Amino acid sequence: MLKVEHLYKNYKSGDMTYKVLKDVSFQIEKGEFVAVMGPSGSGKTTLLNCISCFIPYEKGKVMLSGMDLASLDEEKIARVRNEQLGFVFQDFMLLDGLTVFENVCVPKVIKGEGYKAMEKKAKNLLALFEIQDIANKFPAEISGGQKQRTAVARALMNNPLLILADEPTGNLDSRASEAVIGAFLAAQQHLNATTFMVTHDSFSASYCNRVIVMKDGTVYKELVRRGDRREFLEELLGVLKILNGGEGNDIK
Amino acid sequence: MTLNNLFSKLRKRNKGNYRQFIFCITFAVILIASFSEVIFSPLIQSVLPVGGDSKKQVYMIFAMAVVGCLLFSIYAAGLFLRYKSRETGVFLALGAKKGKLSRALLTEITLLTGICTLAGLAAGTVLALLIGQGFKALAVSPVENDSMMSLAGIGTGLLFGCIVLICLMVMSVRFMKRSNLMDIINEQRRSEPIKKMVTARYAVIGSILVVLGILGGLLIPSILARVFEKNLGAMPNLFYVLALIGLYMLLVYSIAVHKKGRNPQKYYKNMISYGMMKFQGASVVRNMLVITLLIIASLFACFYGPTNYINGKVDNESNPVDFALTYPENADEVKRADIEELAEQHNVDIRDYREGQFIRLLASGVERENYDSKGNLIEIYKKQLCYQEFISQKEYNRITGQKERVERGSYKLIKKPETEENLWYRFDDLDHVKNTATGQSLDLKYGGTVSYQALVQNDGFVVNGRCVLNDADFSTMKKGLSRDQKIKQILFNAGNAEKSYDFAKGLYREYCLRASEEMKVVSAYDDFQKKEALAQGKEYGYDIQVELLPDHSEVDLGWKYTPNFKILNQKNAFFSFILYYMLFIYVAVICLAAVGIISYTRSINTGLSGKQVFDDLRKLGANNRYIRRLIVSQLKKIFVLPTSLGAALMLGYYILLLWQNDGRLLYNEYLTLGVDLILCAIIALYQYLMYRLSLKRVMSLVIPK
Repeated sequence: MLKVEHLYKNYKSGDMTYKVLKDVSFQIEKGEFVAVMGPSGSGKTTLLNCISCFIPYEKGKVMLSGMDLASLDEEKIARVRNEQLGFVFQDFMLLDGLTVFENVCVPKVIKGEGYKAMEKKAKNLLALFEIQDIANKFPAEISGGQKQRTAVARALMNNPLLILADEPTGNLDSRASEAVIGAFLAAQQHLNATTFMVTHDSFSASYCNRVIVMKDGTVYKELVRRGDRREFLEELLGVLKILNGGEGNDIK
Repeated sequence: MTLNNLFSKLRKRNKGNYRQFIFCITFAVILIASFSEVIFSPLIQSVLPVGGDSKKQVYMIFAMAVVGCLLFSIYAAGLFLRYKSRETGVFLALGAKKGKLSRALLTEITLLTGICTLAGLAAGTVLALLIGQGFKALAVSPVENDSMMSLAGIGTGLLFGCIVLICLMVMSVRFMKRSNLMDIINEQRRSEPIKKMVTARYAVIGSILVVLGILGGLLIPSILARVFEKNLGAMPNLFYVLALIGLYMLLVYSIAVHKKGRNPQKYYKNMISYGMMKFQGASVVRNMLVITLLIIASLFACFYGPTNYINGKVDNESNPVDFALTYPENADEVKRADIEELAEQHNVDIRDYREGQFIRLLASGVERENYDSKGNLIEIYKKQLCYQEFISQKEYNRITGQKERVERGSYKLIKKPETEENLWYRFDDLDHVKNTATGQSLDLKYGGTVSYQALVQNDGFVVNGRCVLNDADFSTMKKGLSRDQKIKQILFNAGNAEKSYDFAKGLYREYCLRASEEMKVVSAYDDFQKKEALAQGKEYGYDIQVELLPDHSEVDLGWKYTPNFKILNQKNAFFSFILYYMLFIYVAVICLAAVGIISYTRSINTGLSGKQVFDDLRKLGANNRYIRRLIVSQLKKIFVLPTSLGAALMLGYYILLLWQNDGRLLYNEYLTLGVDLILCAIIALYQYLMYRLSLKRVMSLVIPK
């Protein structure tokens, strides 16, 4: 469903050019929950931003359901973002002036849908992520975990083909992180949602079906979860230990 | 629910940002509308001579005001867009079309600016009318139409509103045009670190450039003119560019370099705030430079008033004669009996009444107006240059009580005690006079100067000035002169001078009403020069009819025969300059408003940019008090450094300016500097209040409730 082929991305600073992504290729199938891990500066967030078309890239292809995103004009890109992609940011990116319910409705409002369908869908998602009680509260009045679950609900409003999540648990404590990962799993289970998540947190990543490990702008390794989550976590930590030159645990 | 509903909800819940934007734009339009209505009003136009320097000066001030207002409108709009960036970024990320968001933003900006412009125009007009009423109440309006409302003024205010709108629309389009969505989302956290390597050399070179720039811009033209009689035109102004570069370097150094030095405790205490400032360094330095320049501009405008007022006051007080008036003998002007009758009516005691006679002779001189291609002053000696007035030694001594002696064939120039020669005026330029009625001429030598303020014309410079002749020479040259070439000089004192105001006003009125048509000329007018110009087919620029205002002695008409009444000068000193004061105060207010708004927006940006760091520090155990200290340390730099640098530079520049006039500081100049110091303190207080306001707002933004 998502196919990334030979992706290259450079950043320029003065006379220096930094190659951030070098020939990155991978594929994600419908219903998969995939994480991208790697040390700081390995290109994870840049990869996510390229897939989201937030930033342009030099070379390569990002295909979503067979459609080359780079070939789309601004109007079509906006439509793809609205209908086929869902976004979850590390710092939630909720609109402070809108309530939780209104925030969740934003993608459908942009799409221009009728309010009945919108309300129904929003209520379902709020219930699925157990945040229906705070529907009329403003972002400033709720916890970090609740904010992120609101963001996940918002991302799912238009039944996107793919949810792109940038460090969704980065600003949360372990309990709130667990709730957010629970939300992604619920989306996968009940809505067959596909999620592509950038994370530093190996505990969160251990819930995924697959983890792409990046190093210096390239895909270093792909790990597939075949059995128990704890075993997968062990495997993940092992790879990260090698990557970090002996230190295990999370990549910070 | 539609997108427009969401926009309207967001507007309602982000009232603070809108209020800030609306306040700034409306305030800018109010200032410009009222300012332009005032300067284009019949009152101000009536007292600004056509084509005169004062008019140019006022328009220059106006241009400064427009730039100041435009600047702070742009800063306010920048902050508004920064607030909007997050929601715009989120909408874009969630698939809203850029075109739709751009249209919504442009519509919003247009509507807001339109409403602000209309409100500003209305409030500005009310303010201008109030100022007009103020003048009316003070009875200083010399024209019948004392309304401060003018179509030209309203039109200018409207035009300013349109210019602001265009600028804001360009800013909005540029804001929306950015292709990198992450830039829009992260706009509030955008960092602009100083990229160059900054060392102590920056501070040294910066200081040298500032000193060199100011000295070069101010003193080099003066030295070249005095010593080498050279003029480099506008070239020396380039030195000020050096001062600007130096100032920038000093500010860069202050933000980029922090060393442990002898007080490592202080360094570690402020390490985090230093680092945060450095991270925003480029934009902080830019803002600080603009603030410093605006402080300098506002102080320059503020200093104008005290300088003029004190100079005029001291000059007036040193005059030994209470009443002095002069007119051609053929004019049917006030005579001794008229003066005494008027004095009696006002219960004023006339003392030391004396009359003297000057004669008007065509005099030689040196014309110094232009420079050659190498910048050397061109001096053209003319045997017949202009008319000058001469008095005999005997007559001079009689009316002044002095005992001066003038040799035959020589002259002594009558000047103010403090007047010195300069590049354009020399005391000894005169060497020949001619009686235009008989053709009798006489060669003269320079015999020195005498001082008697009440008799001085043109500050005592020889062109159109007055001189004392030997009695025999005077008698020879006087023969055959018509009455219009003989000038009566009346001098007297009043026993109860302080109470003679009404008498002085009455005498001024009578004097104006009886002035002949020939007398209604500007002070630079010269009959001979007019004839010369016309003979050469040229236009004579000073052939301007002065419209006398008998009931408004406070208006400086630039009249050749303006009488010198001490009590009127004293009482009118403030009113005579009030219009200029008001215009300069306007500029000062506009500059200070810009300073306040730029400092405030910079503070908010500092808070917003550092919000993430503050959150992280809180996770590391920092409490609110610590966060406050970090913010205070950063805001202090934004407020204290530009204010103190601006004030110090302006004061230093002003001292040099006063000193370079004649190489010394006079009593009145010390007084002026004292008042200037008080003005600096007032501006410092204003900045302190703005700092407190900004601190409160930043704290509310970064510290969760």
